[in-house]
This record gives sequence, C-alpha cells and structure tokens, in this order.
Amino acid sequence: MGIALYVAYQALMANETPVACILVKDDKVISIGSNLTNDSLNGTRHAEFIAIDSVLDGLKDRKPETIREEFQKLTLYVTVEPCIMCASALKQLGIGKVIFGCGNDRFGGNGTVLNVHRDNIGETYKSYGGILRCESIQLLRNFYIQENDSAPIPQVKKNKDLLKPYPPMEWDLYDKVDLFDGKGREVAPGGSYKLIDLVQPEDLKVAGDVDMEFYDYFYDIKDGEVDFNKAVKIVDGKRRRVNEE
Amino acid sequence: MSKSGDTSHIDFENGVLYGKLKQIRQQDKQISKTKPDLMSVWCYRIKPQDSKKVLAVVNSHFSPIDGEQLLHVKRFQKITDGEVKLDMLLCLYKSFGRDDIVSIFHEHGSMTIEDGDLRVVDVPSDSPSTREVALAWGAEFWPIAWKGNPNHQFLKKVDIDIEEVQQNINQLLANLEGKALPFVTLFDGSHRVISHDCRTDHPLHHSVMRGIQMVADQEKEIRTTATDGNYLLNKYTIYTTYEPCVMCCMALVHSRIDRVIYLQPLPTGGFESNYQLGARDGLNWKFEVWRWLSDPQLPPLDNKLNA
Repeated sequence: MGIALYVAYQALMANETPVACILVKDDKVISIGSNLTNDSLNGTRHAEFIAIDSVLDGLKDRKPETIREEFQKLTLYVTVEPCIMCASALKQLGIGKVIFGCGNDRFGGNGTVLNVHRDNIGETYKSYGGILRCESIQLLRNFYIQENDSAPIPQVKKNKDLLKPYPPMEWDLYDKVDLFDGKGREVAPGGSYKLIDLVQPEDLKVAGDVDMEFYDYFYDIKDGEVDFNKAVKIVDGKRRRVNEE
Repeated sequence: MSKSGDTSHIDFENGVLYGKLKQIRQQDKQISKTKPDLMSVWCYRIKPQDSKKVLAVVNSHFSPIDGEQLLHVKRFQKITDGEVKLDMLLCLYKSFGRDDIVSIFHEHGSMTIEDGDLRVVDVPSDSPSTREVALAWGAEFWPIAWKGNPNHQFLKKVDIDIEEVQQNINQLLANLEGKALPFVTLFDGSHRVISHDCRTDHPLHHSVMRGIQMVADQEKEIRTTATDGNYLLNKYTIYTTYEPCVMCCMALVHSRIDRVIYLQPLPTGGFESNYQLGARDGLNWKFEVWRWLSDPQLPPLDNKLNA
C-alpha cells in the first residue's frame, strides 16, 4: 500500500486526483495505475482501469478462462475503496482480492455505497479496507483544497484546511479480517509512527525515482491519532500550472 | 409537444411517453410515507428590507452549487415574533461551513451576520406526491413549494423528439448485423459515435465503455485547437441495445450523461434490474433512463451476460 500511496502522490503532482493502485502477484508488483480522468477527458480512466489494461497488454492469450485464471492470482492494493464501476469491473475479471486505504463516501462499491463485490451478479470477491487510511485521505484533501478547473462550474471550496478531524472508519460496512495479530484492522492501531517507518524509500523504487518530498506531505500518527503538530507540504496546483507554461 | 401544453402523449400513471418510452426510475418512495427524509440546510434570519441584498449573494454564491436541491421548498418563511423577520434558506449544511458563509456575506454583501441569526434547519429532502402531504410537511418542517406531483411535472417537462428517437434506434439496429454479440451503442451529442462490443480483445471493452473512450478521443482532438469543449458526456443521449451492466451504468454516472435509452433489460443490468444507478440517492449525478417499448426483436441472451 505504501507503493500505491507513492503512485497517488505522483498523480497529485501531475494534477490528477491522487488515487492509485498496484496489482500484485506472488508478492511482486506486476502493474501500476493512477487516476487519469483529467488528462484523458474520460471520467472512467480510474487507477484500477489503468493497472488492469497494463496486465491485459502483457497477456498474449486473451481467452476469457485464461484472463480469469490470471486475475484470480492477483491482489489489488488501492488507496481508496474502488467505486461502483471499478468494483463491477474487478468482479467481471475475477480479481483474487482487494485491499484498500480509505472508504469512498460518494461512490464506494465495496461496502460504503453498494456491496458490488458480494452481490449476486457473478462471482464474489473479498475486499478489506483501512490500510494507510489516514495517509490516503491526506492526499485527497491536499488535492481537493485546490479548485478543479476541468469541472464546468469549479466549486468554491468550503474548507481550505487540512486540519479537519478524521472520522473513524465504519468497519461494519466492510469485509472483515483481523490483521496485526488480531488487535485491529488499521495500520498501527493505537500506536505511533511516521510514514517513513512503514514505507522505506527503497520499497518505492518499483514506481520510479524516489522523490523524498513525498514524506513531507503526511502528518505523523501519535497514539492512534493524526498529530497535526508537523508542518506538512501543500500542493499548489495553480502555481504549478503557471510554471509549466 | 411539451411546450404547447399538450399532454396527450403522456401516460402519467405508468410513466410512458408516446406509448413507446417507459421511464425507468425508483418507485415513489414518498407516497406512502408520512415522515419525509430530511436534509440539513443553513437558514439565515434577516430583516425584510435586506431580502434583495441577501438574495443577490445567494444567487451568485450558493445557488450554482446546490440550488436545484432546494427547488421543492420555499426559500423564505415569514416569522412574526414581535418584529417581522424572514427566515431564508441559503444552501445545504454540508456544502458550506459557518465561517465560509459569514465571510462570503461579509465580502460580497458587506453584511455582518450575528451569531444567533445563522442556524441549521431540517427540511424534507424530496417533494411529496400529494397536496395534502405537502401541507402537512409544511406545517411540521418547512413550507413546500407545491407544483403538483413531481413526477408528473417531470414528465411534462421532458423535451424529446420521438421521431428522432425512432430514427436513432433504426440506425442502432442497422449496426447489429454481422456482430457476434448484439451489443451496440449510439452516442448522440457534440460528437456522434457508434460503438460495438469488443470483449474478445479486452473483457471490459463493452460497447458503452468503448464509446465513452471514442468520444473522449474525438474531444481530445478538438481541444488541440480549441480551448473549450464539451464536458464528458454532458448533453449526450445514448441509445443502446441492452440494459448496460453495473460497470457501464456507473461509467455513465461518472461521465455526467443526460439521457439513456435502451431496448432490452438484462438481469445483470444496473438500471431497472439492479441498483437504479441513473437516479440513485447518494450518487452525485442523476439522469433520465428510458426503455424503448416497441418490438425491436433482439436475440435472447444468456442471463449471466453483462452488456
């Protein structure tokens, strides 16, 4: 999930919604995807689709059974719960398992809005959430405090503040599995950590050159709570665009 | 048609236009309900003489964001508690914070909001279906702007050229020939695209998904010379042979489409068969969904197939 988070950070820097994923087979990252809806002018180019396309590009044999067999072996790690569209796409492909960061309040298809992963259309799959949840939310907040110039009426942002409380995850909505010695489902439950303790720069190399500024965008966690006592970086989309021109 | 006030083409009871287009939507959830679903709205208590100034700020700063969700309730409520005052609805509670509202009025209306004048009220989140319920809710919660059964109003307002629909469906069906799977979609908007199902190349390349990409590709080409274009599938109607699967229906939500017309329902579909994704509360986009009732003679399909 640390790698997915880093890819989401790269998306944020490229002016896309910071949602990203990796597909993993036998502990190896076999593809990477991040949201590409703005650049492609296509609202369906979510991270999952980019990563799925890259797996399929590598498959010579496109028989439905072969594709299904391949996807059964894969685990998707995605920073935000798959939306209803992606949840259905993953089901149609026969994904092995999904692990996500934060829930998706508006479109979540793995428990928040709908339970597409376990409905009676086709085969079901398991989907577990909460891994690096606060970090996934922090990237999203960092994005949404900017204004989306691609929208027809860019919305006036109501709260230009990253310091909002982090509501607890509503665990009952999602599939359950006890992680971390059965003590809880969130990374470092009740504990304290800095992101760099969990995700080392070495691990991120699979997603390209490592930009150490990545770590400056996240608060530390202290006693299971987000500790706002650190000055974190804030992306400045407008200025970046001006610089590019 | 709708403009002339003639309603002879409308079957209000069954939601059918011209005997050919059946409206696909959730059943009236409020009809039997005595208690409405409520939503929280910011309410500002003002002096009557300030109403013009306040309204100007609301129209320019709040209504573009969630004015549509407040169309079924009255904006003002008169309060006679000694001095006459007006309670005015500004915007949804979730859209703005107290500080934002105070600063918007300060900046754009040169007004200072006293603490006690800005509060949150609960108002019904949908229109009731009858006048009696509207009056009851008005007394209990907030005055309702009653304009008749909301779905009847909607059906009267639908602006659809049935001849054009028929022509587009004819063109859609003409494109079925020689295809392994009978899934074809016609996109009618700022670009016109006909897309086929290509799941033998890619299991997710259903006709709807492919068409969305084809429209995006054409739009991208235009944008190399023009700065402004069409936003996703805004103002598009699509015609498609079978009820799209859940993935494709949600892709249409993400694409901000205006209208979908399909010929045959499928058990795997995401509109009438499952979830009603075109008009689902909680999602951020709703659109018209219709089923074409004329006999199109499409081949029967495996019940498990996703269109």
